[in-house]
Amino acid sequence: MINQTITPRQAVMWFCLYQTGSAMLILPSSLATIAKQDAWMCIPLAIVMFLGVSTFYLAIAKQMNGASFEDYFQRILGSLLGKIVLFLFVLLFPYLIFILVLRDLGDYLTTSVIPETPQAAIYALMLAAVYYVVRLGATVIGRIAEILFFVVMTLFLVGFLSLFVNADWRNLLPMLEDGPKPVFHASIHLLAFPYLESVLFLFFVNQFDHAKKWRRIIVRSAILSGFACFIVTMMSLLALSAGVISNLTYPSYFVVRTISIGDIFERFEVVISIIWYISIFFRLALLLYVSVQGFAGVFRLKYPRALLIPLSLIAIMMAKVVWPNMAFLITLLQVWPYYCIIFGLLFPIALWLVGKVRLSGSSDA
Amino acid sequence: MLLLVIMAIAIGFSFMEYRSLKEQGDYRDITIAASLLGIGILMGCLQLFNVGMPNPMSLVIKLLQPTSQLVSKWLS
Repeated sequence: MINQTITPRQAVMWFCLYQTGSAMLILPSSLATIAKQDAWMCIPLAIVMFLGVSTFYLAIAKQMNGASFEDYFQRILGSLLGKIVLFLFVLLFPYLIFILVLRDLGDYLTTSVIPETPQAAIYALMLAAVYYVVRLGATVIGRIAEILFFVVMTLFLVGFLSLFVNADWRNLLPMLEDGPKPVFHASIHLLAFPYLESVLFLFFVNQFDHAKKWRRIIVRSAILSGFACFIVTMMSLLALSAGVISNLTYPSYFVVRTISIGDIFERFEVVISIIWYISIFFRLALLLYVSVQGFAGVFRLKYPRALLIPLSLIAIMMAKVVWPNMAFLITLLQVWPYYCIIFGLLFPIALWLVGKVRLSGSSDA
Repeated sequence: MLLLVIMAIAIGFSFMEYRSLKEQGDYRDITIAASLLGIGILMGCLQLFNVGMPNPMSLVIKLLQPTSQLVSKWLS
């Protein structure tokens, strides 16, 4: 964690890969369970809702006035309360997501790709790479994102656009069969996961000249990842139908198995695994980076890198515990959006209001 | 066995990290990092001896399931 600066272009790519991470695999299934054949409509709606939420984030970014997010907590809440709130926020949001994503990675690889490999080995190998890049700093992660983003997007487009051959447009009919309510419900789920996690991007505000530039970055990354999610959901619906994808755990992985063009272009699912593995790497890197920055702010550490190994080790141990079986995970996925709403929407609003009151006397409010 | 190897590697790399921090006189950083490493090692030992650990997600489900059910009822 030596050089901390990233360019806006690198940030857009990193944040976009972060948002497509876990969502790309499980999103079509969770959306189709609620909105059925209208699942594709949720994505533009969720992006529009996110644009509204991002104005709150912008308001907080403006209140930060060039300070780091960690310092902002202490500035508006006082030293002790600020540290306690920051500790709880980092522990209960980015660090918990870090553990969940790690477990998600282990589950996916051991059920779909390498079933005989122990999960602990998968966690350790991935975290070794994540530890290395986070230790090197945001600049290095940004540069890697710049290189791998186009690889991911090219493979992604080649994979999913090939599904046009199997597309059956009747799978989208009838539209709005149950009215607009299920579409709105699914949009809330999509907004919460992954878009409300964008509150974590506030940890990067002080790397850019002004808050509006930062907002442009998060909006661009949301639109790019929204486009990716739209293609995944639409092609899954067209090729498999809502009834099938709502019963699959990883529909986007399954759907590319159906590609068979001229007996040559087939078995593309391994490429989806590669895409997912890359995006999960960026997701874990951002979560660990933010967690380490947050905890270092709480404990006033001069060298946050000292926390990388202990936090990674605790995550490996906790990843085994967070869900005991698939039934538990299904229940968790139903309540998870509301958990994200607490930390990604209600908490920032509360923070902004406190900031408004506390900083009202000063010029930077 | 694998957990033991992971813990040993974590301890080894941590000590290398502490050595460089010690040269810079950052005892505060070392203390915090070593305490967290201790928690990680303790969790690893509990798993090795098959001692169950509490699942924080059970509490999340217990707290938020009523809200989830209410919203599902409204929007279905």
